[in-house]
Amino acid sequence: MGLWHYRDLIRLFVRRDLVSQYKQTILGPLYFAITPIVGTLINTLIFGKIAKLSTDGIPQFLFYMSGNLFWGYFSTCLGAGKSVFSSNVALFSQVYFPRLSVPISQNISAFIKLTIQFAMFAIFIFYFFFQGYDLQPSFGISLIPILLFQCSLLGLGTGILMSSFTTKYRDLNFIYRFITSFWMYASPVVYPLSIIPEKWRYALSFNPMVGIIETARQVIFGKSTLEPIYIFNGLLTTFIMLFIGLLIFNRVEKHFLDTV
Amino acid sequence: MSPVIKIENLYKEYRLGTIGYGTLREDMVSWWAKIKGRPDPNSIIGQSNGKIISSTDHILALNNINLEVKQGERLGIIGNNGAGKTTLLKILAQIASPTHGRVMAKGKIASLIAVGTGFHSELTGRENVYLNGSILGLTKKEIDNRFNEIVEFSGVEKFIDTPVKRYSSGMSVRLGFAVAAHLDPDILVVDEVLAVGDAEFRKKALEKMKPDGISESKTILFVSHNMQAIKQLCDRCILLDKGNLIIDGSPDEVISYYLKGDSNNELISYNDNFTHLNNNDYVSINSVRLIDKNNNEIKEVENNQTIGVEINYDIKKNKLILPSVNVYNNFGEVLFSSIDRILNKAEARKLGQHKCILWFPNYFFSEGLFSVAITLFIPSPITSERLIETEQILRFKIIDRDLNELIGFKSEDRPTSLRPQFEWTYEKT
Repeated sequence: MGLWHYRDLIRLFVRRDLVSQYKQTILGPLYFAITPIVGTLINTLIFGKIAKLSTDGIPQFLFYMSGNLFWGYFSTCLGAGKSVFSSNVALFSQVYFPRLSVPISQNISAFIKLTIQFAMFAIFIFYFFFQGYDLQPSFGISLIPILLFQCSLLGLGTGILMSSFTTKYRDLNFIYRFITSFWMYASPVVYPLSIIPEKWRYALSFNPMVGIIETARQVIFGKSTLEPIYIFNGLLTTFIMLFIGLLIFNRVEKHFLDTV
Repeated sequence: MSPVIKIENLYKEYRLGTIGYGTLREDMVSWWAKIKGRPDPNSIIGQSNGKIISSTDHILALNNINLEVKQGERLGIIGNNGAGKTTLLKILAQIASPTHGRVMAKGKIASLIAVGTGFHSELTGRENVYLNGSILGLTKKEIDNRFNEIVEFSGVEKFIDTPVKRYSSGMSVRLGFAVAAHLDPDILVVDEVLAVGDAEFRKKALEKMKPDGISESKTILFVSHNMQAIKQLCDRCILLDKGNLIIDGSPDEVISYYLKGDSNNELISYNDNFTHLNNNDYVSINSVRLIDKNNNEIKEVENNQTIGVEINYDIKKNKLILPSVNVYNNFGEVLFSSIDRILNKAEARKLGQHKCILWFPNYFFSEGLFSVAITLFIPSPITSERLIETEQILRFKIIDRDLNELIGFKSEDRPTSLRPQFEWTYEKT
């Protein structure tokens, strides 16, 4: 695919992303740490205190933060893929290089920022653990990078598939917005899978975010409603989306300048 | 020498206009035709033997181009704006893809369609050299090896660790070009990038691209409006006009053909084809003519005569409406625009038919081809409202016999669009 030849470019794009974001903000890297905490506090307030949704006995703050981190990373990757054509028209119309290197590098730089957030998360876990909450982390925690990699592949595949259509039909962006927010509520971000009636869980597990977030909660807190088949179904969807996305993206990238 | 670039039956079609509900339907029809193996009913390729037919929403930017470029050739590409030069380069550079036809190229292609592609203002010069070089297809190792040369060539050594946002625009252009000049591809595709930068740097850049600057085996394709640069750099030249390859030969031959304007459409001294523009309630334009002092229509005229552009229009509302005239040279560039500055002429606002003539003095134009576009507008101190804006609707040819015969000076030697006769005074001192 030629992407390997451009690995140095991907590395430089990652660097550019990090440096430019870091330089333009007052708070710098602190900003990356604050965002999920604010989101988590809001979720804790609305879904935890007001709606009083179950969290499977996991401390609410940790529960919502785990959901937010994974969903946040996925939606960043999705956004990177979705806007690949529209936000790079000027660059793409001047020179050819594998277009995929742009969203890939954004996924990597988002991953690097995510490590800061996970460090914060770890601190909170320790805090709650020593407060005497019943948390049973397992060695499965080492699977987290793999779960994030799956988020990245899913976001990339779906994102580039979406962007392939928006080059021509710009108004699809509105529909995508609905899809994304529907997707979030179809994922156990603000609720545990256990509150879904059992007969629906299997169908829902074709949404890869179900398997990802439930696995994460299993390995971090030792509590979930996970079945191995859910992970398998999620992987199936992930690879199908990635495959279709790459297939269509490769066709569109040749012609997209004629239509934007 | 074997060809390194081979272009066969290349077409590039663009769709104009907006994209909406109709687009989706058209796409469906095209897609269905493709599945059925029928020719695309929405494409103008293949219709009327591939000739350009007037279609409102499809244009052919390239129309059946066939071209072979041998290794080591330096091919100049010239033509008016919109002739398809940049489209051709973009297809070669893989930025755009052909609608139809094949392009084969051997070796690594580098394109210089713009300099400093992907420069980020927050990064330092050094970081941007690496970023830009990588975008253009170099690996980190290749940039490491050339880094010192690049910086030296750009002449910004002192600022190499300063963020590019502190650079002057000239400095970033020089740095961008320096990277591009050290790409070392097999085929270098260059668009009008040398139009930027100061004169000294431009000279340096041209030197870099000359045969001794880049080793003989490199193939260069060079688009420019600078005929001098084409003559200096290229050993072969092609002329494009409205997507067609008109002539292919030595730069001298092709450039003089181009400047004489033989490539162009017929001259037009009368035009009344305006119905499609007359869609406002204030004014309609009826006809325009190109005339001499005796009211004869003229197409080809010596520059010892005055030339008039006569505009006939119909004012339908009691409002001051004025024409303005734009004159273009043969490259499609606006030479000048002329407006009557005396706005309170009572005549100009009366209802009914109007005839307005703009007179160009004699000994004003240089030898060559010119065209005229007209705007009718309501002047206003805040913002003038343009009611009618035409395309280039008149085309005429000027012959400068005095210059050729009396002075023995060829226009091609010093191409210029205007050669006005000013007042010269002589004194013996």
